[in-house]
Amino acid sequence: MKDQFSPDHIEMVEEFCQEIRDLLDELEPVIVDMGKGCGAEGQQEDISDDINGIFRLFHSIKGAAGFLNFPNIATASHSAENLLDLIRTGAMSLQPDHIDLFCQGCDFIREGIEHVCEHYEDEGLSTQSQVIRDRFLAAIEVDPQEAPEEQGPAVIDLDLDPASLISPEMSKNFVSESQDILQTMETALLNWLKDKGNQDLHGDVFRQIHSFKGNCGFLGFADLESLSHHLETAIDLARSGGAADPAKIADMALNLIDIYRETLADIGEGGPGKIEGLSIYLDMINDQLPPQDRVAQDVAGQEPDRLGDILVEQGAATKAEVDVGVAQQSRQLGAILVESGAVSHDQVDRALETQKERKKKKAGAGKVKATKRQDLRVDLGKLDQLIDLIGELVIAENMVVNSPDLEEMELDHFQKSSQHLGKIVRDLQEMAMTLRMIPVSGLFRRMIRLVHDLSRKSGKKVELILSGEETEVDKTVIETITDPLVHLLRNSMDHGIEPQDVRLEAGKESAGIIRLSAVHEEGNVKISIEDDGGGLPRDKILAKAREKGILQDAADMPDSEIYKLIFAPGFSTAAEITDVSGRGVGMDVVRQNINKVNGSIDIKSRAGQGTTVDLRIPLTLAIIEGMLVRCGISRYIIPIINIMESFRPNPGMITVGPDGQEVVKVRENLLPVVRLHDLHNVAPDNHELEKGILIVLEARGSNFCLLVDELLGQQQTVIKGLSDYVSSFGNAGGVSGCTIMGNGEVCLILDVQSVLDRLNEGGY
Amino acid sequence: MKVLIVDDEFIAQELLKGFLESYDAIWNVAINGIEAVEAFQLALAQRDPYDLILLDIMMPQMDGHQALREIRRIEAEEGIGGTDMVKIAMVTALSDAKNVMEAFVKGSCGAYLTKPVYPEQLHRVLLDFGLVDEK
Repeated sequence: MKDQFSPDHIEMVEEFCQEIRDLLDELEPVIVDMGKGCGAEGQQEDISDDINGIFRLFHSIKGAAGFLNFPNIATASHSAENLLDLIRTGAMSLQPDHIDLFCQGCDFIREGIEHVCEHYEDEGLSTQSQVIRDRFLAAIEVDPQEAPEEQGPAVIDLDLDPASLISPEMSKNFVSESQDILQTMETALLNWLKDKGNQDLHGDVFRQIHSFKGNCGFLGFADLESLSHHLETAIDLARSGGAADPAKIADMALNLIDIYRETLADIGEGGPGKIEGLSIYLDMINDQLPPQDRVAQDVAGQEPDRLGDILVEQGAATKAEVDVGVAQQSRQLGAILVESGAVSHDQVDRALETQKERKKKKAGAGKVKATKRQDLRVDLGKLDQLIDLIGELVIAENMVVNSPDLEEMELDHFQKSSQHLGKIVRDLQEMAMTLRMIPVSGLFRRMIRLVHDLSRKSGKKVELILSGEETEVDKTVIETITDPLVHLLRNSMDHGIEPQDVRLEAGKESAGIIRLSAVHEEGNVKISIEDDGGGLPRDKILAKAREKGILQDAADMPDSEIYKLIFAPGFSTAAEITDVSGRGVGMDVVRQNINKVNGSIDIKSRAGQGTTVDLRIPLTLAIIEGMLVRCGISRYIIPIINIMESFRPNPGMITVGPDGQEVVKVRENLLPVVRLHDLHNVAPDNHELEKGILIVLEARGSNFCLLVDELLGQQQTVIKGLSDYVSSFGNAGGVSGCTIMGNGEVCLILDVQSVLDRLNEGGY
Repeated sequence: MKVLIVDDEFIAQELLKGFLESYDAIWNVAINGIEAVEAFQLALAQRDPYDLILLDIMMPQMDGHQALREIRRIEAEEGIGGTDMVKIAMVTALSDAKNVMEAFVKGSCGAYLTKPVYPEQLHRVLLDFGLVDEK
């Protein structure tokens, strides 16, 4: 393609693209800015400079594109010029949709630039160019006499496609902001449900829906806005003690939050943000309200336009039938009536059509509300880059401070400054790690809703008690444990907590208790799900495992191992599959997700008293505090969190077991000894325990001693993963990774847990 | 049609005059950017602005780019914009990308002709600018 064009032409096009891009960057803000003041009376004077500037933009593009023989870009720019000229001369007044149009023009030109950069001609743009030209033409052809008269305040006309006005950036922000709002609202609603008389709690709910409505309106999502407006009214009435029943309203609001979420997801994927069956939801809300307070849906307000009424009107259903349907408000009225056989699908569809038509004229003006935020959303990729760079900085700092060139030199001032530098680097590192950390409260709050729904579905009363919500963990950890947490809670609800009568018989409170807690433990975060239900049925699990062929001999299996069987794929003890659980998929998901983040799962269960599931997940610290040790010529890093103490043993402390396992007695405790030189086959300085150093290591509650030749000191260690080749051997000899030393040497990081595992398996 | 020819070369001036003779046009000649801007301002003051400026780039004292920017600046000050801006065609031997784009993007010139210029090219420009009807 490129060969057809002369180098001159190519150079010219590249220059063109660069210049026009700059020009667009400069003038687009002017266009948008001009949009803010437009529409109001007497503003035309002030914007003439802007208009001229924008005219020149399109003029320049037209000229340059013409020169380069890009007719499509040139003509599109020309049509923009025409409209601008009419506005400039006062033949037309500037309308909000004109701004919209100019923005579209700029977008087209940007696209055009990308296109010509690649192809050096603009033939491929003819369709888009035509579209743009038509739009400008249409805008010009609007009767200029009428437009200024009819012009209202600067309200964005919602009949226009609002999506074209909203940048992807804006809608992305809107979606994430709204999700936060909905989250808060959900929590507020559940609190309010518990204490309906509380005005403060009610206020919380009201504020959230109100700001949500504002945001929707601001961005022109008419469906979301009108639904929120209705809901707002309903919630308001529920407080003032009108005929509306707070409990019903709150339940309805919870259901609607799901609708909002779906719609937001749609918007997030670039959808128009329309709500299917909006009218039905609006009816649903109105039906909860006393007649005089119902939100007017029809501008005329004369025709009844509720679906039920229309069905009655068309003779498809009797009033009584409809009322029965209305009474079951939790589902779509139409669906209920079809199900109960009162009306047919066709009839409902017809009625829905009618309803749609009647609502077409419904007015909804966008309310402009600016929301201020204190925080800044940063691309996670950038953050990771920053953290990586700081990791490199730590290495570099180590390299400088421990430089071999400086060894054995007396450098008082250098020592002082390097210590200062070291402190700053460590602070920076800590800061960087916290950047990625978010509290688990958001995750936990979502569970409140889950438990609420499940408890309604199953009829079991359950109280969820949260603790440690403020515990912070890495964002990726939150993402990975969301699904497992849902499955575990469902399990607790479905299998753990017994039905009320069983509980009462067993002498327990009728309401079950599930505790969800998070706490930092060593380098991990521990998340516990604890229920006071019936406990895991050990025998049932064993029987099922034998049946599935997962397990042959279980004679000496500890309970904790038996419980772990429930994580096997396809394993379920449920007699029948409900929509909550029973397929045996859930626990497998839990296991896989936890494994993915190098976490572990422990289950404790006591029959009749409940089950506790502990998830331990590393905080994904890319940097650890490590102890540098030497064994022969090799150096290793041992994570400080695993080190309890170190000592040089007396001969009297050492005994050798019948199987040859050396054991050291440390303050009444007998600890097995692992020789690091055996582990990695290196030649040690000496083989006698008394001449080496024993380090007492601890991992998940078990201790052992590790024999090394020398302790070299404590240092910050940046973990570098082992290459895929090395890790493909599976557990690479008790090593979790490596690090680069100050002098550039590579040094292995010991994985205390896996050393211990192998010790327990009798590997040493 | 009132035209300002801006070129420091006598031959070029004569050539452009020759072209314009076949149209219903009157013209002035300026030999550098400074004269061009003065002539432009004078015409504005007399409320008889030019319909077209044919502007060379390489000229002593003030080159065509500067003159072009100056003219646009004056227009902006006077609130002249849109289609009221004077139509300017660059007529120059320079044909490199930088010069061409600078004239279009920074100066909003309407056309760019590279020397040697032929009568048909100039005619095309006059048509594009709407200064003459298709004959």
